[in-house]
Amino acid sequence: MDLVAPTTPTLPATVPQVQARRSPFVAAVLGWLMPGFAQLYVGRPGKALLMLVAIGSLFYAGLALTGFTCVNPQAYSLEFAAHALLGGPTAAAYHLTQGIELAEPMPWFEAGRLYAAVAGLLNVVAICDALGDVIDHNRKVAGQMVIRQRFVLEREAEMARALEATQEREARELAAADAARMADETALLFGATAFSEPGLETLSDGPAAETAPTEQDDDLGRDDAGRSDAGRSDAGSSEPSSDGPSDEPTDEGRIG
Amino acid sequence: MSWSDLIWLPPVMIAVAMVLGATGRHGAREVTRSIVHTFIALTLGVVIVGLVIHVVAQVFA
Repeated sequence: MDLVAPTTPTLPATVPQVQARRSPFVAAVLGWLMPGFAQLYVGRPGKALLMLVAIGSLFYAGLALTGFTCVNPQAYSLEFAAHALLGGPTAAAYHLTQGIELAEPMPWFEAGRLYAAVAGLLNVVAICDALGDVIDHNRKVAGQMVIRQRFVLEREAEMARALEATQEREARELAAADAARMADETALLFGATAFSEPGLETLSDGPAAETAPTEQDDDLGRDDAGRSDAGRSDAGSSEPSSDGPSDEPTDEGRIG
Repeated sequence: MSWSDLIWLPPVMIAVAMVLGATGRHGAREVTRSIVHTFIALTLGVVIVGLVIHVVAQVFA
Protein backbone atom coordinates (compact mmCIF):
# COMPACT_ATOMS: atom_id res chain seq x y z
CA MET A 1 0.00 0.00 0.00
CA ASP A 2 1.39 3.36 -1.00
CA LEU A 3 1.42 6.00 1.68
CA VAL A 4 0.75 9.63 0.89
CA ALA A 5 3.74 11.82 1.63
CA PRO A 6 2.97 14.57 4.15
CA THR A 7 2.35 17.80 2.33
CA THR A 8 2.59 21.34 3.70
CA PRO A 9 -0.30 23.47 2.38
CA THR A 10 0.68 26.95 1.27
CA LEU A 11 -1.32 30.14 0.80
CA PRO A 12 -2.78 30.48 -2.68
CA ALA A 13 -1.50 33.19 -4.94
CA THR A 14 -4.86 34.91 -5.01
CA VAL A 15 -4.38 36.79 -1.76
CA PRO A 16 -5.99 40.22 -2.10
CA GLN A 17 -3.35 42.85 -2.55
CA VAL A 18 -3.38 45.88 -0.29
CA GLN A 19 -2.33 49.27 -1.60
CA ALA A 20 0.10 51.41 0.34
CA ARG A 21 -1.28 54.01 2.69
CA ARG A 22 -0.70 57.65 1.84
CA SER A 23 0.33 60.34 4.25
CA PRO A 24 -1.89 63.44 4.50
CA PHE A 25 1.14 65.44 5.63
CA VAL A 26 3.13 64.54 2.54
CA ALA A 27 0.12 65.37 0.37
CA ALA A 28 -0.27 68.77 2.01
CA VAL A 29 3.42 69.60 1.67
CA LEU A 30 3.49 68.53 -1.96
CA GLY A 31 0.35 70.52 -2.69
CA TRP A 32 1.84 73.54 -0.96
CA LEU A 33 5.07 73.28 -2.93
CA MET A 34 3.36 73.06 -6.30
CA PRO A 35 -0.33 73.09 -7.18
CA GLY A 36 -1.45 69.68 -8.40
CA PHE A 37 1.38 67.68 -6.86
CA ALA A 38 -0.89 66.55 -4.05
CA GLN A 39 -3.34 65.12 -6.57
CA LEU A 40 -0.42 63.48 -8.35
CA TYR A 41 0.64 61.93 -5.03
CA VAL A 42 -2.85 60.62 -4.47
CA GLY A 43 -2.87 59.11 -7.93
CA ARG A 44 -5.06 61.48 -9.91
CA PRO A 45 -2.87 62.86 -12.69
CA GLY A 46 -5.76 64.37 -14.64
CA LYS A 47 -6.96 66.41 -11.74
CA ALA A 48 -3.36 67.33 -10.94
CA LEU A 49 -2.92 68.74 -14.41
CA LEU A 50 -6.19 70.62 -14.11
CA MET A 51 -5.15 72.18 -10.80
CA LEU A 52 -1.72 73.03 -12.10
CA VAL A 53 -3.15 74.74 -15.17
CA ALA A 54 -5.87 76.63 -13.31
CA ILE A 55 -3.89 77.81 -10.32
CA GLY A 56 -0.54 78.16 -12.03
CA SER A 57 -1.89 80.15 -14.94
CA LEU A 58 -3.84 82.43 -12.61
CA PHE A 59 -0.76 83.03 -10.47
CA TYR A 60 1.42 83.66 -13.49
CA ALA A 61 -1.20 85.97 -14.95
CA GLY A 62 -1.20 87.90 -11.70
CA LEU A 63 2.57 88.18 -11.80
CA ALA A 64 2.52 89.29 -15.42
CA LEU A 65 -0.19 91.86 -14.89
CA THR A 66 1.76 93.41 -12.01
CA GLY A 67 5.08 93.40 -13.81
CA PHE A 68 6.36 90.65 -11.49
CA THR A 69 6.27 93.01 -8.55
CA CYS A 70 3.26 91.78 -6.60
CA VAL A 71 5.19 89.22 -4.51
CA ASN A 72 6.56 91.75 -2.12
CA PRO A 73 6.01 91.14 1.61
CA GLN A 74 7.07 94.67 2.51
CA ALA A 75 4.69 96.43 0.12
CA TYR A 76 1.80 93.96 0.10
CA SER A 77 2.00 92.06 3.34
CA LEU A 78 -1.63 90.95 3.44
CA GLU A 79 -1.53 89.67 -0.13
CA PHE A 80 1.75 87.97 0.58
CA ALA A 81 -0.05 85.90 3.20
CA ALA A 82 -2.30 84.64 0.42
CA HIS A 83 0.67 84.18 -1.90
CA ALA A 84 2.43 82.15 0.79
CA LEU A 85 -0.32 79.54 0.50
CA LEU A 86 1.28 78.76 -2.84
CA GLY A 87 4.71 77.99 -1.45
CA GLY A 88 6.86 76.92 -4.36
CA PRO A 89 5.80 79.48 -6.98
CA THR A 90 5.78 82.26 -4.42
CA ALA A 91 9.30 81.45 -3.24
CA ALA A 92 10.51 81.26 -6.82
CA ALA A 93 8.82 84.54 -7.72
CA TYR A 94 10.14 86.21 -4.59
CA HIS A 95 13.73 85.25 -5.35
CA LEU A 96 13.51 85.87 -9.07
CA THR A 97 11.72 89.22 -8.98
CA GLN A 98 13.65 90.97 -6.23
CA GLY A 99 14.83 94.42 -7.22
CA ILE A 100 12.37 94.86 -10.05
CA GLU A 101 10.91 98.36 -10.17
CA LEU A 102 8.02 99.42 -12.36
CA ALA A 103 8.99 102.26 -14.68
CA GLU A 104 5.36 103.16 -15.23
CA PRO A 105 2.10 101.98 -13.62
CA MET A 106 0.55 98.88 -15.13
CA PRO A 107 -3.08 99.26 -16.35
CA TRP A 108 -4.22 95.96 -14.80
CA PHE A 109 -2.07 96.10 -11.74
CA GLU A 110 -4.93 95.68 -9.24
CA ALA A 111 -6.38 92.80 -11.22
CA GLY A 112 -2.98 91.15 -11.20
CA ARG A 113 -2.71 91.45 -7.45
CA LEU A 114 -6.16 89.92 -7.16
CA TYR A 115 -5.21 87.07 -9.49
CA ALA A 116 -2.13 86.15 -7.51
CA ALA A 117 -3.98 86.28 -4.19
CA VAL A 118 -6.89 84.23 -5.51
CA ALA A 119 -4.44 81.66 -6.85
CA GLY A 120 -3.01 81.20 -3.38
CA LEU A 121 -6.46 80.78 -1.88
CA LEU A 122 -7.48 78.33 -4.57
CA ASN A 123 -4.41 76.28 -3.76
CA VAL A 124 -5.82 75.76 -0.27
CA VAL A 125 -8.95 74.33 -1.84
CA ALA A 126 -6.83 72.05 -4.00
CA ILE A 127 -4.86 70.86 -0.96
CA CYS A 128 -8.09 70.15 0.93
CA ASP A 129 -9.37 68.19 -2.05
CA ALA A 130 -6.19 66.11 -2.06
CA LEU A 131 -6.49 65.53 1.68
CA GLY A 132 -10.01 64.27 1.14
CA ASP A 133 -8.74 61.91 -1.51
CA VAL A 134 -5.99 60.72 0.84
CA ILE A 135 -8.55 60.01 3.55
CA ASP A 136 -10.75 58.11 1.10
CA HIS A 137 -7.74 56.17 -0.14
CA ASN A 138 -6.62 55.25 3.37
CA ARG A 139 -10.15 54.21 4.25
CA LYS A 140 -10.20 51.97 1.20
CA VAL A 141 -6.81 50.55 2.16
CA ALA A 142 -8.12 49.82 5.65
CA GLY A 143 -11.03 47.96 4.09
CA GLN A 144 -8.64 46.04 1.87
CA MET A 145 -6.52 45.14 4.90
CA VAL A 146 -9.59 43.84 6.73
CA ILE A 147 -10.58 41.81 3.68
CA ARG A 148 -7.05 40.48 3.28
CA GLN A 149 -6.78 39.61 6.97
CA ARG A 150 -10.10 37.80 6.82
CA PHE A 151 -8.99 36.02 3.66
CA VAL A 152 -5.73 34.93 5.26
CA LEU A 153 -7.48 33.73 8.42
CA GLU A 154 -9.98 31.74 6.38
CA ARG A 155 -7.21 30.23 4.30
CA GLU A 156 -5.21 29.36 7.40
CA ALA A 157 -8.25 27.67 8.95
CA GLU A 158 -8.85 25.85 5.69
CA MET A 159 -5.24 24.73 5.53
CA ALA A 160 -5.37 23.57 9.14
CA ARG A 161 -8.47 21.52 8.36
CA ALA A 162 -6.80 20.08 5.26
CA LEU A 163 -3.66 19.25 7.21
CA GLU A 164 -5.70 17.60 9.93
CA ALA A 165 -7.63 15.57 7.38
CA THR A 166 -4.39 14.55 5.71
CA GLN A 167 -2.90 13.47 9.01
CA GLU A 168 -6.03 11.51 9.87
CA ARG A 169 -5.97 9.83 6.47
CA GLU A 170 -2.32 9.00 6.85
CA ALA A 171 -2.94 7.61 10.32
CA ARG A 172 -5.78 5.48 8.99
CA GLU A 173 -3.64 4.24 6.14
CA LEU A 174 -0.81 3.44 8.51
CA ALA A 175 -3.16 1.56 10.81
CA ALA A 176 -4.61 -0.33 7.86
CA ALA A 177 -1.12 -1.16 6.62
CA ASP A 178 -0.13 -2.39 10.08
CA ALA A 179 -3.28 -4.47 10.37
CA ALA A 180 -2.70 -5.98 6.93
CA ARG A 181 0.92 -6.75 7.73
CA MET A 182 -0.02 -8.32 11.04
CA ALA A 183 -2.70 -10.36 9.33
CA ASP A 184 -0.21 -11.54 6.75
CA GLU A 185 2.34 -12.42 9.41
CA THR A 186 -0.33 -14.19 11.46
CA ALA A 187 -1.52 -16.10 8.46
CA LEU A 188 2.02 -17.10 7.59
CA LEU A 189 2.75 -18.10 11.18
CA PHE A 190 -0.53 -19.95 11.52
CA GLY A 191 -0.04 -21.72 8.25
CA ALA A 192 3.46 -22.76 9.17
CA THR A 193 2.28 -24.00 12.53
CA ALA A 194 -0.64 -25.85 11.00
CA PHE A 195 1.57 -27.62 8.55
CA SER A 196 4.31 -28.27 11.06
CA GLU A 197 2.15 -29.70 13.88
CA PRO A 198 0.60 -33.01 12.86
CA GLY A 199 -2.25 -32.80 15.29
CA LEU A 200 -3.57 -29.58 13.87
CA GLU A 201 -3.55 -30.86 10.35
CA THR A 202 -6.53 -33.13 10.92
CA LEU A 203 -8.47 -30.34 12.51
CA SER A 204 -7.99 -27.94 9.66
CA ASP A 205 -10.49 -27.74 6.86
CA GLY A 206 -7.79 -27.51 4.26
CA PRO A 207 -7.19 -29.95 1.46
CA ALA A 208 -4.80 -31.90 3.69
CA ALA A 209 -7.78 -33.14 5.73
CA GLU A 210 -9.48 -34.58 2.69
CA THR A 211 -6.54 -36.60 1.49
CA ALA A 212 -6.28 -40.32 2.03
CA PRO A 213 -4.84 -41.46 5.32
CA THR A 214 -1.18 -42.39 5.31
CA GLU A 215 0.95 -44.42 7.65
CA GLN A 216 1.53 -41.40 9.76
CA ASP A 217 -2.23 -40.99 10.01
CA ASP A 218 -2.53 -44.57 11.11
CA ASP A 219 -0.02 -43.97 13.83
CA LEU A 220 -1.88 -40.88 14.81
CA GLY A 221 -5.12 -42.81 14.87
CA ARG A 222 -3.64 -45.25 17.22
CA ASP A 223 -2.38 -42.52 19.38
CA ASP A 224 -5.83 -40.96 19.35
CA ALA A 225 -7.34 -44.31 20.23
CA GLY A 226 -5.04 -44.59 23.15
CA ARG A 227 -5.95 -41.13 24.19
CA SER A 228 -9.64 -41.94 23.86
CA ASP A 229 -9.20 -45.02 25.91
CA ALA A 230 -7.49 -43.00 28.52
CA GLY A 231 -10.29 -40.50 28.33
CA ARG A 232 -12.82 -43.26 28.64
CA SER A 233 -11.15 -44.62 31.71
CA ASP A 234 -11.05 -41.13 33.11
CA ALA A 235 -14.71 -40.72 32.29
CA GLY A 236 -15.56 -43.80 34.15
CA SER A 237 -13.93 -42.53 37.24
CA SER A 238 -15.40 -39.08 37.04
CA GLU A 239 -18.14 -37.25 35.17
CA PRO A 240 -18.88 -38.21 31.58
CA SER A 241 -17.07 -36.48 28.77
CA SER A 242 -18.87 -33.92 26.72
CA ASP A 243 -17.66 -35.45 23.48
CA GLY A 244 -20.49 -37.91 23.35
CA PRO A 245 -21.62 -41.27 24.72
CA SER A 246 -18.96 -43.66 25.85
CA ASP A 247 -20.13 -46.47 23.57
CA GLU A 248 -19.40 -44.43 20.47
CA PRO A 249 -16.97 -46.15 18.15
CA THR A 250 -13.47 -44.80 18.48
CA ASP A 251 -10.91 -44.08 15.86
CA GLU A 252 -9.19 -47.28 16.72
CA GLY A 253 -12.19 -49.27 15.67
CA ARG A 254 -12.56 -47.30 12.46
CA ILE A 255 -8.95 -47.68 11.56
CA GLY A 256 -8.92 -51.34 12.54
CA MET B 1 -17.44 102.41 -16.19
CA SER B 2 -17.74 100.18 -19.20
CA TRP B 3 -18.01 96.47 -19.89
CA SER B 4 -14.35 96.38 -20.75
CA ASP B 5 -13.57 97.19 -17.16
CA LEU B 6 -14.96 93.76 -16.21
CA ILE B 7 -12.76 91.81 -18.55
CA TRP B 8 -10.53 90.79 -15.68
CA LEU B 9 -13.45 88.88 -14.15
CA PRO B 10 -13.87 85.88 -16.53
CA PRO B 11 -10.34 84.52 -16.01
CA VAL B 12 -10.83 84.47 -12.27
CA MET B 13 -14.24 82.93 -12.63
CA ILE B 14 -12.90 80.27 -14.95
CA ALA B 15 -10.06 79.42 -12.59
CA VAL B 16 -12.35 79.35 -9.57
CA ALA B 17 -14.87 77.23 -11.44
CA MET B 18 -12.17 74.81 -12.52
CA VAL B 19 -10.78 74.35 -9.02
CA LEU B 20 -14.06 74.32 -7.14
CA GLY B 21 -15.76 72.19 -9.78
CA ALA B 22 -13.04 69.57 -9.77
CA THR B 23 -12.91 69.41 -5.99
CA GLY B 24 -14.51 66.29 -4.63
CA ARG B 25 -15.26 64.87 -8.09
CA HIS B 26 -13.77 61.86 -9.79
CA GLY B 27 -13.82 61.02 -13.43
CA ALA B 28 -13.38 63.27 -16.45
CA ARG B 29 -17.06 63.46 -17.33
CA GLU B 30 -18.19 64.21 -13.82
CA VAL B 31 -15.45 66.80 -13.35
CA THR B 32 -16.30 68.52 -16.63
CA ARG B 33 -19.97 68.63 -15.80
CA SER B 34 -19.26 69.96 -12.35
CA ILE B 35 -16.96 72.67 -13.74
CA VAL B 36 -19.63 73.79 -16.18
CA HIS B 37 -22.28 73.87 -13.47
CA THR B 38 -19.96 75.76 -11.15
CA PHE B 39 -19.10 78.29 -13.81
CA ILE B 40 -22.78 78.85 -14.62
CA ALA B 41 -23.65 79.24 -10.97
CA LEU B 42 -20.72 81.59 -10.43
CA THR B 43 -21.65 83.67 -13.45
CA LEU B 44 -25.25 83.92 -12.35
CA GLY B 45 -24.16 84.87 -8.86
CA VAL B 46 -21.79 87.54 -10.14
CA VAL B 47 -24.38 88.92 -12.54
CA ILE B 48 -27.11 89.00 -9.91
CA VAL B 49 -24.86 90.60 -7.31
CA GLY B 50 -23.61 93.07 -9.94
CA LEU B 51 -27.15 94.00 -10.90
CA VAL B 52 -28.15 94.45 -7.29
CA ILE B 53 -25.15 96.68 -6.69
CA HIS B 54 -25.95 98.62 -9.86
CA VAL B 55 -29.59 99.11 -8.86
CA VAL B 56 -28.69 100.12 -5.32
CA ALA B 57 -26.13 102.55 -6.70
CA GLN B 58 -28.72 104.01 -9.07
CA VAL B 59 -31.30 104.36 -6.32
CA PHE B 60 -29.02 105.98 -3.79
CA ALA B 61 -27.03 108.00 -6.28
